[in-house]
Amino acid sequence: MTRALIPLALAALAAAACPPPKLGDPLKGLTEAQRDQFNRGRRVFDSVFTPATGLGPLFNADACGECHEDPVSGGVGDEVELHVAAFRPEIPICDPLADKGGPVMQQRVTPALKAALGIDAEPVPAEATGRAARTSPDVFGFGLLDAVTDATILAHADPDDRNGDGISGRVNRFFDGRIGRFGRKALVPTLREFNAGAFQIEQGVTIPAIPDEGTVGGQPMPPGVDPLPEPELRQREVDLTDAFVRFLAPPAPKRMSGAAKEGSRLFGEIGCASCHIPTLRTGNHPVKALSGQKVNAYTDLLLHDMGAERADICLVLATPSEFRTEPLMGLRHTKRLLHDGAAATVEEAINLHGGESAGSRDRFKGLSASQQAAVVAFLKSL
Amino acid sequence: MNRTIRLLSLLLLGLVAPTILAAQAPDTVQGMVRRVDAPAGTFDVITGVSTALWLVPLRAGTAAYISADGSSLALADLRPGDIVRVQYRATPQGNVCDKVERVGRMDNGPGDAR
Repeated sequence: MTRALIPLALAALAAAACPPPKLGDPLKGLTEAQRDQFNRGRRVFDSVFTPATGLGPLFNADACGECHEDPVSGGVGDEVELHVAAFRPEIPICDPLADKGGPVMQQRVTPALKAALGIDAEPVPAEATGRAARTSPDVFGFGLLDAVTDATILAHADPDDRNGDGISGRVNRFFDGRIGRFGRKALVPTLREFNAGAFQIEQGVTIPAIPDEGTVGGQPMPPGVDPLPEPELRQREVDLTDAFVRFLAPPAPKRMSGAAKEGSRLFGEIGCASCHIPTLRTGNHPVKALSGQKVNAYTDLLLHDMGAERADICLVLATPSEFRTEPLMGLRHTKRLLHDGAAATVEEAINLHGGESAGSRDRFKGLSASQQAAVVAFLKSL
Repeated sequence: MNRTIRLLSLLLLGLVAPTILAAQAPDTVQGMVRRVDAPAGTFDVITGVSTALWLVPLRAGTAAYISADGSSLALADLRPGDIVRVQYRATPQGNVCDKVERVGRMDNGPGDAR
């Protein structure tokens, strides 16, 4: 009997000696070189740009860490962005208004651009048929989401609801046809592009892949407002930033109470887990720490209809009411919930679910008070 | 004298030729057709990196080869929402297409060029 307990005791000791990564720590199992990239990438992520180092002329933030900061680098932010698009039924396609500065409108300008044009933000195109508020999510565990294969995402898709469960997840695609997964409308296929694009679109810092400041609502930048030559950031810094985000460990869930364990069971029973799939597995990946890993992200990375009340803009295949299932890992660190920050509490967020998720919402409402509290306790353990 | 001129000409050609070739090297873009104006022989394609998006305005003259699944198409056969791979050259008249291949429809993804 005593002998039988020895392996258990050793396992418990090993777990105690090897606690899960803290929030903002790198993944376990990285090589020394990868950890070095992570640490150097964090410095770029936290660097504050100024007009003299490439910021603007249009921008939303002066650092990656301005929007992804709470409680540590890579966390959430309190910034709310403005996105726009136009649905053109006569074509019919969703137009992201790329030639008018869309879909992300920059809310801030450098002093030089303000002096030249007298504006405080990029003007919203008159053609926009929809506007959307977008909160800043945390980016913990995004490297693992990036390493989930397209085949895994497609395996969960059921666009025509053939199984009749009322849930019909479907993929969104980037403009070149690749399957998307990042962003609230699942537009962006890879983490590398998600990170690289943010330099130009959020900070106005040009990079080798985007050596152009773009336009001001479709009009050329006035001369003299952007003195630095393009690109303003070297590929090396872009790569380091990508390494930092890619290697950020997912938030470790809290130890579940009895109520939270019951809530986890109810979460599945009332159908939340149909879209918020608890676990995805990554495919083969050159980085060992990202290869063949389970990620408890609570998402299927697919688009679902969330109902007319939360609808805002279209984006490629996503209709105004379709959104990618938000990953719930790290939910307890999030201050504002849902894509537009409309909910301040978990209960509010559940109540604001509509469309395909209306059935689960109503089943949640039908639970007893203690059962509802158990579901909330579970979600707050993530 | 003739030999000197010949040598100088060769040297000059060696210096200039790479520049000429670089100017003629085609660009390639894969993106979604947003608009087609068949009578004007123009169309544009949306592409980008993440949400940093831009339009590539293109001109498809009579020399442009437009195809889908190996079959020849007319520019008027392209529709908004088609996914195309375009080989083009920047010229003073704009971006002139050499080849336009429809590789899919946005709702079906690449591989369905019907």
